[in-house]
Amino acid sequence: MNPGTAAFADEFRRVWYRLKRSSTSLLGLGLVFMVIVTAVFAPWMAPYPEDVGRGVKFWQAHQPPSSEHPFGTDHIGRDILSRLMFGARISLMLGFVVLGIAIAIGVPLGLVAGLWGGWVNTVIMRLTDIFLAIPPTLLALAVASALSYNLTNAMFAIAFGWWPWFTRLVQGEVLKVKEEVFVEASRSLGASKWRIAFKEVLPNVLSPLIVKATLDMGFVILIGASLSFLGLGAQPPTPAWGTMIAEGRLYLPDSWWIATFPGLAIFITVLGFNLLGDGLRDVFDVDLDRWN
Amino acid sequence: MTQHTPTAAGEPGRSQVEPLVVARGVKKYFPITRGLFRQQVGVVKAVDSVDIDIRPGETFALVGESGSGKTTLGKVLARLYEPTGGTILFDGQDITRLHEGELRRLRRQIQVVFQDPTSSLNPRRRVKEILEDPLVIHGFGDARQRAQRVQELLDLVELPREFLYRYPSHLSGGQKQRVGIARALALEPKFIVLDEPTSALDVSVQAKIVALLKRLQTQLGLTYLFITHDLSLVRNMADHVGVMYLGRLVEQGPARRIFERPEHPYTNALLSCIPTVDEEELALIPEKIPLTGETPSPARVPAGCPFHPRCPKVMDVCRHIPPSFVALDGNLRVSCHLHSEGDPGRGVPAAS
Repeated sequence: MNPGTAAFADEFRRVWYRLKRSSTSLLGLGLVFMVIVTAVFAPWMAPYPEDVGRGVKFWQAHQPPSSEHPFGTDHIGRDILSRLMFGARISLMLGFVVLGIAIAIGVPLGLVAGLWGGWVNTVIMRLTDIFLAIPPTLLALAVASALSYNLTNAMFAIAFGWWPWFTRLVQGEVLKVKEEVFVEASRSLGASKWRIAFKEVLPNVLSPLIVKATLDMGFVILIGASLSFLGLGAQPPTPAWGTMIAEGRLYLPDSWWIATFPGLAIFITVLGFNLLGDGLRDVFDVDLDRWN
Repeated sequence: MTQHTPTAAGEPGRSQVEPLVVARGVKKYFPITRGLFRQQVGVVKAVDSVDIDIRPGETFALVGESGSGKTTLGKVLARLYEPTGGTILFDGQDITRLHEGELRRLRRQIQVVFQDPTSSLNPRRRVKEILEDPLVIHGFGDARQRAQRVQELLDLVELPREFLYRYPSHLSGGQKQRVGIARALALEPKFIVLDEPTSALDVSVQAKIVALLKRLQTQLGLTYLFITHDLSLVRNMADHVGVMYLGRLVEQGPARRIFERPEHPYTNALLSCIPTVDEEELALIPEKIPLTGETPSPARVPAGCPFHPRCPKVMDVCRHIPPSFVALDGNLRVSCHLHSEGDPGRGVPAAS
């Protein structure tokens, strides 16, 4: 094996060894793993299609959970379990896209603010303060409602207010790392600021970043579901979990299963990411309280 | 400069060789700021008006207590800090003020080995990446040539090649410092500032690192600025010694001359503190001079001679007038009123 890969495998083994000693982290990992597998293999795993097209199967509507439809059927006769499985794809994609954008914007800004300092730092950090002063759900709601209502715009709306969390996290970490002698050593070799930012500082900021991103995943998925619940996200007949709750809400409490199972799906996904994030925080021994 | 007085034994004709590093009146002040608007309320004179000549191939040891400004001076000479005043010549070129690009080119010639090898190596990067870094920054060859150079460097510092893919946390202190030295050698510099390179190591390891540094110096023709507070190290390492106190160089001269007959009371006190193990070493130690009190803060340097509050031989003049440099026999320069004009038989004011 390539020695470089071996070193990476070493690191992975170390994380795994410490993670597996905590049962709640393992539960989180299991839940996250389950959601991801479901999302990836939904077309093959789901017993029914995600939608029925134009045909409404009245004779199958509002069926309570049974062996044929474990989670029941909705008001136009679609299988809830199958729709949840396809919905997992939407939730996970939303989470990954939003955090991807937020990290791509937030991390470089945090590195620049911390390393360059001075007025650059002041401008960037005051800007993040403005964003962070607004409740994230409210901000996403405002932005999403100003745009046309679809999944892409919903993701953009959440990411719009999410990058400052990463800017603040990274800037704080940079301030700690940049006083280290190895940064000075790199400077004494003639390294540019960008090189120092990405080669010396970023690897040392990775652990808190991974932890923060994992914890945020649950939160972002929750906000995404809220937006679709309010009709600002994915539109019917897309099986977004929030949209499904909104539809099922009309048939409470008689057909309780239509809204309840999507709610449980959100609950389990968010719980999984939070437990995993907490576990990783202990493994990496990161103190995130300052940013949450 | 020093006059052409008879040179001390052990360094024939030192003053005839062109110096590699020439510093004149070098100052480094750090502002002390306070309050919301960061008003400047004072200044720390970490290095104040220092003149130094370092000749090619020699080891110039900079000694002094912590807080004496020796590390700051080292970093100013390596141009990690921009001096507040004075001029620095390196190989005949003025390096006092440089643009970023010029500074980067200078880094090939001047390198630094840091005190604590644990904190000077990035814990998240492997030895290979750490040693490749200077080569990548300065555009040395392609990936294959760089890999080869990295192996040469490991050989040079006597580390086995299988260390390439280890993280610093898998190495011992001495091994880490060898990596630090290899990194400094990567660009084939002429001048290396060794900032207490052994003080974080076990004594048994210290000796090996010192031996390595000496071997590298002869093998590669390096010039060292060796910063340390360990005078017993200085004795078997240095050709030339500068003694710093509160940001000033109070005495400098050939190592042998200073160890045999120190002229400044502070040097005397430092030397008398060296622990000895046998009669022969004891004979080298000058009369016991106890140092009382703490080094004053460099933010409030005493008036007159900065050493006067602690000096066992303090005179009235010391409290008011700062002593100037006097050249003595054996190429020694000292800044002390004991040797000033008041004692014409011994001292001649140094022409600078």
